[in-house]
Amino acid sequence: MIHQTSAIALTVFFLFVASVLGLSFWLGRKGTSAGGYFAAHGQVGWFVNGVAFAGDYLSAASFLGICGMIAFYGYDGFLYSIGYLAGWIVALFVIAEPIRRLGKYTFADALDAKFKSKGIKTAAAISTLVVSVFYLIPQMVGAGVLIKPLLGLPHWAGVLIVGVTVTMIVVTAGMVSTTWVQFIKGSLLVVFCAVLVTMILGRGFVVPAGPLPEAKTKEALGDGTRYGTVASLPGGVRESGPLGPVGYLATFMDSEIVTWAKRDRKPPEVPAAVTVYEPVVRRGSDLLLPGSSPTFRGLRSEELPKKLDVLSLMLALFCGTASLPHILIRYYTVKDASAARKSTVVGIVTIGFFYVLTLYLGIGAMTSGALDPTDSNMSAPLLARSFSETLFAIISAIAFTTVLGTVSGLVMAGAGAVAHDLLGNTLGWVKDDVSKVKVAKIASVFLGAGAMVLGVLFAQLNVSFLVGWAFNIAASANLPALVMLLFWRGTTRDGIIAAITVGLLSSLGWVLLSPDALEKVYGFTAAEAAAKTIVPFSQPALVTIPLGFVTLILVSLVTSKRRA
Amino acid sequence: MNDPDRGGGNAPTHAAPPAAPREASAAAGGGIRRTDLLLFGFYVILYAGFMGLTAFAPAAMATRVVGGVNLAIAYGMGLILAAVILAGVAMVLRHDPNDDRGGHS
Repeated sequence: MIHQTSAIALTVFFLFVASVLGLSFWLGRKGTSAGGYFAAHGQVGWFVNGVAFAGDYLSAASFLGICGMIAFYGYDGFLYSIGYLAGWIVALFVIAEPIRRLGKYTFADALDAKFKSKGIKTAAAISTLVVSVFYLIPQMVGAGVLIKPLLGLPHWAGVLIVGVTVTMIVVTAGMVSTTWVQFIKGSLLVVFCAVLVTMILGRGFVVPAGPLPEAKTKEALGDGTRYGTVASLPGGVRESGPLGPVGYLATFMDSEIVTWAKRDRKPPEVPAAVTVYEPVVRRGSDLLLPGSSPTFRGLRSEELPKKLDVLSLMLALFCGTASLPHILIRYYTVKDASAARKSTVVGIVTIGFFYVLTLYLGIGAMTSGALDPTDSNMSAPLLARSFSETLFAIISAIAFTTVLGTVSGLVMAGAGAVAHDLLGNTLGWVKDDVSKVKVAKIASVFLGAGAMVLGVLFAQLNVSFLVGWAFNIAASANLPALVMLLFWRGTTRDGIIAAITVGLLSSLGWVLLSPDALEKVYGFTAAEAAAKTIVPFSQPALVTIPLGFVTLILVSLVTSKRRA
Repeated sequence: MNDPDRGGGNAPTHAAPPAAPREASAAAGGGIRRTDLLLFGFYVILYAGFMGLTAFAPAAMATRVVGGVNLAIAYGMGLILAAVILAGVAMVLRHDPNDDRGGHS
């Protein structure tokens, strides 16, 4: 609509994809054994692994979703940045070293190291698959969103390109190529975002000439109007000039910003309501406070359940990071517990730096005059286009590799769960290492195909919204079992199985019956969703994480007495 | 006594380094050191304080605190910075002179 396909963007994009695939085929020679395929022989250096953590973790939700949310609503996107990073503290101090000591290839290995139980392996593998699928959907949707403006292709084409590329990466060399793809992607993402932020600070703020634009229908948006501009700057100046990091935020707070809101209007002369996008002037100081967006609006509500909904999401982000199977398997690619910890430190520094940048990227996009009022996910690439076509091409290609890196990790986690945990250790159908690698490659093809189907089916769903669900389910199903196994001697096999099962089913059931799901997935109106739902708020972590802990303790106490 | 289903002993794969004894109670995987527990607890308090203020004292978040920036921004940036600093502290506390520099084994 207001995007144009550019030749340079096309060239850079295909160059990136070709380089990534070339690297995978080259590295494929090293990943033939099970140890090589599932864990890169445990020989990845801690620094490379740390940056690869960033490449694995900084998904489409982090880059496109957070930047877009800040560009549209202000501070609320930054709440995701804070929550996503805070979760790494759990990984650093609680999970990193023990999980490396206990495991071999998968998260189920660590949970089962003490008990050698098929029940634990099965429960952990199913949990891995469910969490990975929930995390896969938004990544594939993000790929489809990106491909439209970048290549001028339909949504399904983006999903297809990512699905095929990732399947080839994972099939050729498993964790070896996945690690390097994630390392390259993590490095490029952070470096180019830092370049972009430097340019944002150098440009400062500019008040464009002319009157405030009028409200427009979707069809009329591509008329050359600049979307996302500054209405006034402190002191009545037209340009701020270059600003420092603190001065940039302070100036923004004292400015007035033209944001765009989507509304349904029914003019008297037409029979049905029409959707229009209208400019709304807001103070910068208000935009940099929590509670503007639909996701976090509960913070400004007087109703306790609405506040609890937000607190529950923030708890899920804090507890979910160290429970994500595709993150946990990266601990097996380093040689020992010390390297696991060091790579976590490198990951935190890299990811933390990136999340600081997201605030500037979001505000830069909000005031760039280059927003697409219909699509928040395109804010970061369009911000880059406001500087130059070349930068747009590079940032778009990096955004695409962002999806590739994360999806590769998710498919690896899923393939490991199927080949190593379910078919290998639980059912005993796949016994030797060579067969495990073969089965994992076949599983990767099926997972890649499934991801493509889901990416097309759920094309309309919000990316950050779905990732939030994945964190809720991961934290509820996996964290109680992991923490109690590591730190409570009374933990029993049955306690672990019960905690994973109850945490998984309760959180999954909760999100599928939540007001958000009823409205955004099943298509009910907001009022119908509120009337039909049976849970008090949409994010389950506040209830289902404690439920997992209580279940584990009670079942462990009962089963240990029975055995005694 | 080492009943595997009761977690009576350490996991077979556990090999805690003698120079760094466990200080807190542990079941499997080597447990958690007291310093780690303190640093983790400190961050949990910081994070809980942030969420508490955001949810129940939103007016406080609008207060300009440093360089013309409000508490919401300062506290949020502080949480990210605190995570990075704690990561650095963790690195220093666990420094092993025998470790290789590049990280490759």
